[in-house]
Amino acid sequence: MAESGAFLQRAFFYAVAALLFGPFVLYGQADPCAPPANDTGFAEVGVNLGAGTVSGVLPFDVPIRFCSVAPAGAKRVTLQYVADPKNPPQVDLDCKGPGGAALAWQPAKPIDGRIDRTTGTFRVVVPRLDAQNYYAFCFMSDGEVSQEEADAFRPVAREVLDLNLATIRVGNLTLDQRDALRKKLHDALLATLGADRAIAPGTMFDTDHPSDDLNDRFVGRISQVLLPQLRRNASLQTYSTLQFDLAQALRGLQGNPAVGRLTAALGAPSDPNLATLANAFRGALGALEMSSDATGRAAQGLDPATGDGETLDATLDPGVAGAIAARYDALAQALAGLPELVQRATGPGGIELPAEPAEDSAAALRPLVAPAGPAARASALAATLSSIATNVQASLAARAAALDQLASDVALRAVGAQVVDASSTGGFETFQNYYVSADAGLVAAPELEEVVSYIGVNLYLRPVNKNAPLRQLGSFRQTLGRRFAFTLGLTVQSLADGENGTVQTRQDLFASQSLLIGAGLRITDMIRVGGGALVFKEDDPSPLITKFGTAVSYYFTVSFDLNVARAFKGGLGGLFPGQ
Amino acid sequence: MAIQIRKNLEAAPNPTTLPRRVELLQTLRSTLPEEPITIEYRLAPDHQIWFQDGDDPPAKSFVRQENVGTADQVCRDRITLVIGPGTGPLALVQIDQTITDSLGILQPDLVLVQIQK
Repeated sequence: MAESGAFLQRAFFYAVAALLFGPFVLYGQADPCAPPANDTGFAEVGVNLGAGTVSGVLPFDVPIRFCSVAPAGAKRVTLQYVADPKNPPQVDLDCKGPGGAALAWQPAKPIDGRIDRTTGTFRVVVPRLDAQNYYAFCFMSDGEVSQEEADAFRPVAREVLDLNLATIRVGNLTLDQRDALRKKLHDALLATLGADRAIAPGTMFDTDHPSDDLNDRFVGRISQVLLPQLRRNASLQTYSTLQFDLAQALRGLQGNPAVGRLTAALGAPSDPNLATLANAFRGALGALEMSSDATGRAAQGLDPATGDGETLDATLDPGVAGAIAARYDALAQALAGLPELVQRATGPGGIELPAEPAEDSAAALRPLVAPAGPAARASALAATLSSIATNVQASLAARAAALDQLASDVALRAVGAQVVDASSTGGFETFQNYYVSADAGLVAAPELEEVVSYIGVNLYLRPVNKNAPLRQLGSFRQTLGRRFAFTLGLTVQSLADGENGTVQTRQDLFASQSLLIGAGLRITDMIRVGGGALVFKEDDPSPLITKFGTAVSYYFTVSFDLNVARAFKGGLGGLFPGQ
Repeated sequence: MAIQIRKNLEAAPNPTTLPRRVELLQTLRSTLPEEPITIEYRLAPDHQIWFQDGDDPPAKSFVRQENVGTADQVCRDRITLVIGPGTGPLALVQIDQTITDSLGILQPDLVLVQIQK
């Protein structure tokens, strides 16, 4: 009996030791996430983002501080998680559910981590997790892209912005249309980026963080592109009408018989004076002598001889528009000289045209060159077209410059998503520790009029993490499951009597220990009160029988956690002097 | 006889809040020593922003007369932009302009005004 009692006592000690020095995570010496030797107040857990694993079973009911090597270039790391009490959550590499389904990530606002630049690590504190759950953690990181990458993306962004903004036909934007346009541009830009790139938050095309300031900047920048674009479009609306009118005006002049006689006379000058006049007004005469096709090309702003090049409504090259403007301007200048040509050819003191009586030609020509006559109108049309072409030239250049600026406003960030699977469940070996605790204290047995010390094992009905302060987990009622436990214990001192020559009426159940069977409640994190049945041996009340039989008496206990007892010098506060 | 736009239409202040009197500026030049022109300003009919000229009721367009010579001339037209019936609120509004010279030749221009809260 004595041997069995000693065995049980040793077993208790071993159990207590196992509880006190249970499984713990080993960190390598070179691990930058190795936890400090002293208590940090958090459950420190190392994370391997590349492997998608954590350093052990996750503790529950206490805040966890994850630590991992930060992804290269990361400026920000955030964390969300999903939990499932039955099965590990199925999460893709990009933190989406099966088939791209959205998952109920917690918390709604991702938890920000702190990046340590000196060690290249980050730490993120996770609120208390529930026991016996499977978790998937989504670590999102973002950082700056390299200058080379930003430079390489700029032309792509410019093309995207160009194509999408070119479809806008009017500059009236409601707030909804503004937001829709911003979203459209954001999505179009995003479509050109890989999964590891995104629009930088707080920048103009970031649609997730709208603000009045950002909205104003966006509209301001967009209007710098839209204004020249719409101005060009408006200019081109009258361009076709004006060039048609110019062609008609030129053809009207060219078809006038008096003009025909004038150009014929100056085309083959019969004397040096006529030749001089013809040379002085070569441009005007050239406009009057053009073929119908050449006239059409001139009215379009093209080279009348070759017709080479783009028309004003087709070109996007400011240089081409400028050349067209110059040709219109030259035509307008030439046509503006017609009144003087006619005046010098037919006016008083002018040159007498040989083919016809001078008076007839003058009479026929003067209305053509009147201040509001056909020649003046043709010149005005050409001058107006020159102004329009100049506007188009300026608009094309301004839009190109504004697009360059807008493209440079597209700020990228490098983003990454790593999924880490973890569990607060663990295997039996791990988890049994959370159902069992050890304590030591005093047991009082009123019927026996004895108070002795004892050590015990408490068996909870739910997992309990004794590192989690009860007051942080809720009210007494809410934490009842974390307080109540069944107790199995052994007295440390003997309950046997009969010393000093008295009659022995009581023996211990085992060699020098009696058994406690009961239950208790933690009233604080460290102190427990309990009660139950104390089992010992008692002399049979019959005087004829000297055998000791098993007896039971009720008891009360006050105990404290053995982790506290470790702090006592001299081995459990002198309870076990032999230890 | 012909009008050349030397500097495109601008609005000041821009951006602006509403209601607010704005100044519409543009630099023009004519091929004639003096040419009377007509300048019409228009707003799209469906939105909530209107012109208000003095005590006149809000309108979607207004017209100004100018005389332009061969030297560059800055034309300034002041008008108040107000909020009236129509779709909105707007973040950006387009003011269209048509210049008609003495021969009846039309030339367009426009300006965008950014509206702030």
